[in-house]
Amino acid sequence: MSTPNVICAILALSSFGYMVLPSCAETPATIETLSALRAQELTAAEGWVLGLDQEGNPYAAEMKDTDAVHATVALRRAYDVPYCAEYGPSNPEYRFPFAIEPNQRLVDALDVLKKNSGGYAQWRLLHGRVILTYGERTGANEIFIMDRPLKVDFQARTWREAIVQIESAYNSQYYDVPLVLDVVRPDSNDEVTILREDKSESLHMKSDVSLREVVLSILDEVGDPRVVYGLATTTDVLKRCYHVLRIRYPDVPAEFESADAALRCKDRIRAQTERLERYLDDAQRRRDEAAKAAADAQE
Amino acid sequence: MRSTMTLPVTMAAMVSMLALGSFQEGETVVTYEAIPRPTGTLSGAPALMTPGTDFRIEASDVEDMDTKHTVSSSCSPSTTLVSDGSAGSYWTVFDPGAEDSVEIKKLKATYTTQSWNAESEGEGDYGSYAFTTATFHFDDGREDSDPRHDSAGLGGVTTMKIVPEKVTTALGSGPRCHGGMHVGHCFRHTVLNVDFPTFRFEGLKIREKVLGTICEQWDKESEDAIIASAHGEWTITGDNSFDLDDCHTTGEDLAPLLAKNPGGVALFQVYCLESWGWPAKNPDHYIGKGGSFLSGIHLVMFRDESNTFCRVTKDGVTCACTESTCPGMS
Repeated sequence: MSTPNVICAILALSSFGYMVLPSCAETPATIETLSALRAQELTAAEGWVLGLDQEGNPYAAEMKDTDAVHATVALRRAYDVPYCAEYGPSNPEYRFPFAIEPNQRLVDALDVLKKNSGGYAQWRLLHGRVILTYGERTGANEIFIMDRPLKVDFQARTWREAIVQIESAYNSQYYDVPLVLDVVRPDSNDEVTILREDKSESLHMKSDVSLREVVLSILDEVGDPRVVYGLATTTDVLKRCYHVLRIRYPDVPAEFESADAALRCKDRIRAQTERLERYLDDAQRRRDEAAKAAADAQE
Repeated sequence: MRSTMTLPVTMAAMVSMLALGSFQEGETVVTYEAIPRPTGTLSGAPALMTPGTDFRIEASDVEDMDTKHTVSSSCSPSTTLVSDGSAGSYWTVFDPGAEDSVEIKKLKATYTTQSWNAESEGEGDYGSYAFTTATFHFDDGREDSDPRHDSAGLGGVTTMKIVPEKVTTALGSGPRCHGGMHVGHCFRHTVLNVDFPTFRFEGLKIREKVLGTICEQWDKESEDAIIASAHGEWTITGDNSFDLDDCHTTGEDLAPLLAKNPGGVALFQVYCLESWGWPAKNPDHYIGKGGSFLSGIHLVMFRDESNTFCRVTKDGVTCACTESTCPGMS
């Protein structure tokens, strides 16, 4: 399968005059933004190796090279634009040198990131957001989860309705590693309407594009460029692997602001865990069936 | 004050002048020697820099006497000491953090000390102190060819710049409650320079930085959010404590990790110097960095011990409670 055409890699950009654009994360990122934004100071992406030794004592060692998370953190610190970070699995953690020079343009910093990481980090500008994709491709036929085509046809009034339908669509089409979605809002509530009141009540989504494009199209409908998504691959308590895609609203406090928010978050995570259990079980069943069918075919 | 003295060597010089016939009747020959050595008293204050103050340096009682030899036609040589000026004198200030040494052509001056890079310019295990030194060079301003010319280093004065090298942790206010849920606790912190335990860092601004988290079921997206949401800033008060407790609670970023890590989530946090007279030269440096692998790093452990009780332990300090004592659900 090919990468959807909608992905536009920004490979060559003409020079734009120097200008300082304050708080650009409140407006969509554009080609002009990429060239106009310049770093105010040297920002070295940090690289830490953290852990607990066998006695449970913590240790921390600073590395010369950085990793995907700290590279993203450095970019966020240096350039105020909306970022969507897609963290593919990497074991052991892939490290590379990365520092943002004073006065360096955002577009140049992104190119340096790509070059210094040997292609482990990719970037593109889509839907007013800088999409950072980290990951090693392990096989020629492997398609990164966000690039996978996804057939969806649903109507959703609330975020919960939408994410459940995206999950269902994805997990019915792919069963190697299940996907769950989450929506992180300041009020911790995912049972609120997706669209603003001045738009139609329900979101209608019918497409056959990449998962990335599905999510970005929904974010377009939300209308706030500060709303971004992030993807990671992780494991549950039984060490079963799954993808989690979180849609993040701006201004989410580090601490719950009310008991209601804390309870809603717990309920949301509980519901997500229950869905994930179903997806994991279903994916295992289908993998077993596929393995059995393959074995039968060989016999 | 002038004084007259007889110097045998000088006499020999005059005799030789007479012998060479350069001395004619009715003339008075005057020669000079740049002795004795110039003297002066140097002072620098304060010995320990504080924010908003300058390093005051002064060379006082600076005196340069030259020896004047006079031989008149009456052949009655005399030797006197005459006072000379100090017009070419200057201070050279060597200040860790400044790009170059600074020359100040005054006897009395003030110098604003600069921030220093703790890791490359600081001294001690943590780079938490540095010395600014000013050396005074006496110069009378005369040409080198002038026998009265005096130039000499008269010594130097030093001041010390310090920043904290340790942040202590104690249980602060708490618990943090939402409804009946104990969602975290606050901790009280104090900054300290071990060699100067009574030194007041009042006004110092610091900010937190989260280096990362560790737990069994970990995900980079959560880690990214946790690091990005660490924005705490504090100002040090007169008793060297943070103006507010540092509160660690569960929230949207931590909740997903806590939910699938019954063993807890460990967060690595450090405190960086933001500004205090010397704004941070190296913004990535943090208080206590450099002593050992964990020096300066604060470990915050979160663990959901029940549905309503999240235990937070920071640097081994935690509340004595074993269950939520928060008032009922709102």
